[in-house]
Amino acid sequence: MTRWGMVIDIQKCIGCYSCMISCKQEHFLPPNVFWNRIIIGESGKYPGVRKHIYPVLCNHCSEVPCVKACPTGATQRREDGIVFINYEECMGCRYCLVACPYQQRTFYRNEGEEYFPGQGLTDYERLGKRLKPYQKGTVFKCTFCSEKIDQGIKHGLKPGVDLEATPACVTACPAKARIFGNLEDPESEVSKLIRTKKGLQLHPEYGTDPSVYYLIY
Amino acid sequence: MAETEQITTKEDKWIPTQCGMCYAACGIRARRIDGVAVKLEGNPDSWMGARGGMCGKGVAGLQLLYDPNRLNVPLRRTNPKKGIHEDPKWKEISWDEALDEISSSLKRLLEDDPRKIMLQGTTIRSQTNAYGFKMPLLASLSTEKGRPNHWSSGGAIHCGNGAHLVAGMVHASWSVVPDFNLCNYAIYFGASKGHGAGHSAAANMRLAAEARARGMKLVVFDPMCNFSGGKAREWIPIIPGTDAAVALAMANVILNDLGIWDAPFLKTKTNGPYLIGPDKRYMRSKETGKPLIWDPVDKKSKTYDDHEIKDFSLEGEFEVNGKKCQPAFQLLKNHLKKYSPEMAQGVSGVSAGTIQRIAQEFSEAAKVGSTITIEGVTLPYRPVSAVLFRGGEGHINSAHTCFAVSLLNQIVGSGDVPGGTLGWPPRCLGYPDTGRPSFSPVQGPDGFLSTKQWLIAGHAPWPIEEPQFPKKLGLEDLFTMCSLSPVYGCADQEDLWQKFKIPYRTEMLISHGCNVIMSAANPEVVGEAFRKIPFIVVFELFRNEFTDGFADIVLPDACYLESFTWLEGLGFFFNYPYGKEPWCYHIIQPVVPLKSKRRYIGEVLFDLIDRIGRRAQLNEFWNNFFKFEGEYRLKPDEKITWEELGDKSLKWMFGPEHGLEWFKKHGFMSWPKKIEEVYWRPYVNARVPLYLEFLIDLGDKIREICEPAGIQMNWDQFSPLMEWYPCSPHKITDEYFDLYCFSYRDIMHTGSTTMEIPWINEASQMNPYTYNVTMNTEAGKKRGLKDGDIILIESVDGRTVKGTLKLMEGQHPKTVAIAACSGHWAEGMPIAKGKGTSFDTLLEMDFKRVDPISLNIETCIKVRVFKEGQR
Repeated sequence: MTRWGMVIDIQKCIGCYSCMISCKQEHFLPPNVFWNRIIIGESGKYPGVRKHIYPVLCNHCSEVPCVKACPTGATQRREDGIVFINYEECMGCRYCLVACPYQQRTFYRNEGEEYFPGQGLTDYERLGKRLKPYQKGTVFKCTFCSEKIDQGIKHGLKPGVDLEATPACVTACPAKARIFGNLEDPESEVSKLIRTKKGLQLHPEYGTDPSVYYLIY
Repeated sequence: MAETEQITTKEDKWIPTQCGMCYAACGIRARRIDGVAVKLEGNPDSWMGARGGMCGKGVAGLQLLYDPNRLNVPLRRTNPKKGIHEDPKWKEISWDEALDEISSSLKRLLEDDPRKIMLQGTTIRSQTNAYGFKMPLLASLSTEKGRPNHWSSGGAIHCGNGAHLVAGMVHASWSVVPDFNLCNYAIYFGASKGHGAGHSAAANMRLAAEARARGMKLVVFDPMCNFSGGKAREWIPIIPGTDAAVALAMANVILNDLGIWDAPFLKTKTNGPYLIGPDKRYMRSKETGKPLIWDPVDKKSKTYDDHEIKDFSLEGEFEVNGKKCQPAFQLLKNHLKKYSPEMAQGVSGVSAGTIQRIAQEFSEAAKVGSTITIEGVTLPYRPVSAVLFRGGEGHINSAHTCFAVSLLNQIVGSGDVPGGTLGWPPRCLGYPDTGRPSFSPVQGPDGFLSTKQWLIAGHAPWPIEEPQFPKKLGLEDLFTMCSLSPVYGCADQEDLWQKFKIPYRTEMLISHGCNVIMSAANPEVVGEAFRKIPFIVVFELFRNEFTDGFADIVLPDACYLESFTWLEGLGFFFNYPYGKEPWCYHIIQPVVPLKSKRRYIGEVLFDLIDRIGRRAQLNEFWNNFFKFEGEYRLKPDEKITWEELGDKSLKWMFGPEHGLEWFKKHGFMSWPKKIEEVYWRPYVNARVPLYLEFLIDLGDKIREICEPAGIQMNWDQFSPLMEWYPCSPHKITDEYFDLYCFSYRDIMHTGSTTMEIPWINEASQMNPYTYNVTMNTEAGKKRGLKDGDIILIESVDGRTVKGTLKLMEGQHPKTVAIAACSGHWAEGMPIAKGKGTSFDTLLEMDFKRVDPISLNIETCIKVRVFKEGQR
């Protein structure tokens, strides 16, 4: 059985924003919309200070608050664990936005579309409108690059191993801080890392059982 | 289960090329769908990068390509007035008109005096700048009278004059980095290798992360706990400009308290055993003039390279030819005693206990005497590294500071050996089929390491050229350890030129990139210097503060995603895969065709050089540069195009089947390194200096030329023993200015153009520090300040800037920090406009505030901070 999951190695991450920008680039996301974000902070008092860098994204939870909140059934969880939104069915009520305890969903307003305000859309943005026709008035979020995963599997590639079949944020990382694979395969790299380096989920007290684990060592 | 739809496209192609967002030039691939570039990724097959990953700044480069504010046509200034807020009133002209005017000016000046021409090239595209722009032009515009002057705005004068000089002398390379694969303990002084931009940016990120995960301990001395400090096992706050005091105190502890040093390394690879006489200079053989050492077995002095040396004394006192002398190592060891940990604490704020502990940890982790066998070869194993870069070297004590940190590596023998401090590879035995390119450091005069490859048509680090009465406007022919000179932007330049009676001035400037108004120093100071130049031609991507204020003609340059160059692959000792990672020679090729009337500078220069009738000189330059032979050799009048030359050069280096077509398909050529290329130190019989004897005569000669001309510098710095010298901000006694203000490299930014890129702007806004001015939390609270306050920063010289405050625990309480090259105001860069605070506005540039040895400028200033409205 398959449950897709991600491991983020906090020791390796340097906060270069490549995951954030690669995700935007891959999905032709509009300005000020982020499916991957970097949260930066510090703890301790001078001089005993630690800088904290946390890349965050949709956790593709198994106990899915957003699915439970969705009145139309537009948001669902696939058998392989990916939580997706069917834009045809989404009516933009945004209950899911409120329900998600990780604040990883965005309402697409289709306003302030231009990356260069007042200067029209670039060739890249125009092509994006054709390839990724997001619908105004719906909610969208990280898809674990399901299109890459699905196409990859169709062509015999392994998600998490073959770059073309792997989420963009994972392949983008220059520090190799992000690993992707099947959480249900005990021999997959993600499973081994979670076991040996004690992978932690964000806010386990929410009871959401995320697919995303963090290594802090 | 929802299936994801596939939208049909006519074309979906990946094109291998190189990134151009910083000078690392990492190997990337670009995806083009239906004629539009849509994605940038690291080239997963190349070692010159992160093997599929790439940094955020690089990914964002796509928006550089498609920015609607990009220049598309040549422009001519119609408002004759120049100044930092002048409206140029641009008029579109044709390329022919532009090149006609440029070439007739060049012809006239060639005839008159080519020294009246000046070049300036951006370090962001370092290889293109050096090999595609400066070197060919310098060669083509050279007559008996001389050749053009050149610099690179903030490049080198802020960030490298000291560092590259010392890396060149000590490692035959442009810069240094820990051997991440094997290093166990690394110390950084004001450096961010692996945590920001820089040589091998993405490869370093990959390697440093692996090392960190493996357990390598990284200790970072930095006033800010941000990029490298934020990832360090131990962040140690330090006052800017005091790194040498800490490094020398550590060296003192290691040599004098712990008694640890790598004797065999010191004896054979440094000038530690060279005998120093009463005049502080080497004792030299009467017959050969070579420096002498003492052989304690035969109990006599011999030249350092005598074939029958049984051993070298590193300590003791001897008598040679009636004079008392001591090995340089002995003098150094004694000298270092004054750098007690307590003394260094007083200067730097780092506690004596910490200095002692780090010194002990470092020297023990060095495992002096141990070996490792790699690929069947047994080599010294020293898994420690001390590295310094931009932050540590950006001061008027630059050269000595860089030497002081490099000393730590030399003491324990970790220079260019497994686990230690590596330079980018200076030794290549060539691509196996052709043996090209092939170069290696050799032994130079007095036995010192001499590199055979250097980047700028300037000074190779060793041997040092004889200082001359200056004829160059940058005085580089007088200050012969300076790579790039700040004089071109200095406030007191005219005074210097009068005193040295330099009989000409710059009448024409050709600039590639280089927004001097944003990236050199205070815009008014630099603006004044450039306003004097009557004819300025700029190849640029955008209209910016420099073009609009000062350019006469602006030419629309191609960005890296639209251009072809084979030159970004030439940076062996600059940005190549280092350590055991295989050689990778990349090309840059267009992902999309050139839009509108944009042209790539490399190709334009060929056109220009033909128009001025200097093709023969250009071809000779390329013949000499590549050492073409036989049918490859260019005939004097051969009108070879830029692309044809690229094809020829690639075939010359890699064989007739590996020309442009092959490289367009495969992107890069790779071959494994040999051990003697990776860890070349044991294979090259050359030494590096612990005792800077060459500074004595150099200083005397420079002084002899300067003093009669009325120029005084801090001649004390030409001292053979490494010292910590206080910097200009340390000498400010007025307690009113109680904070040290400095600028730092943000991971998202290199140079001044990154501010224009929307994705980078979004990341910068998300980052709590990038656009803000940061101060220590307590220090801010003591001054009644809090997050979000609008503050004024006033420098000791009376300049003021405004910014938004963000308090950090992770910052030294005596400092104020401003990121990157911020504070744009140009209309031509609307995304960049108004973002961040201009640090450079606070930065003076004059000849009183430079390192007399390397001419690095002082990049730290004393300031006072107020809340706006509460002065």
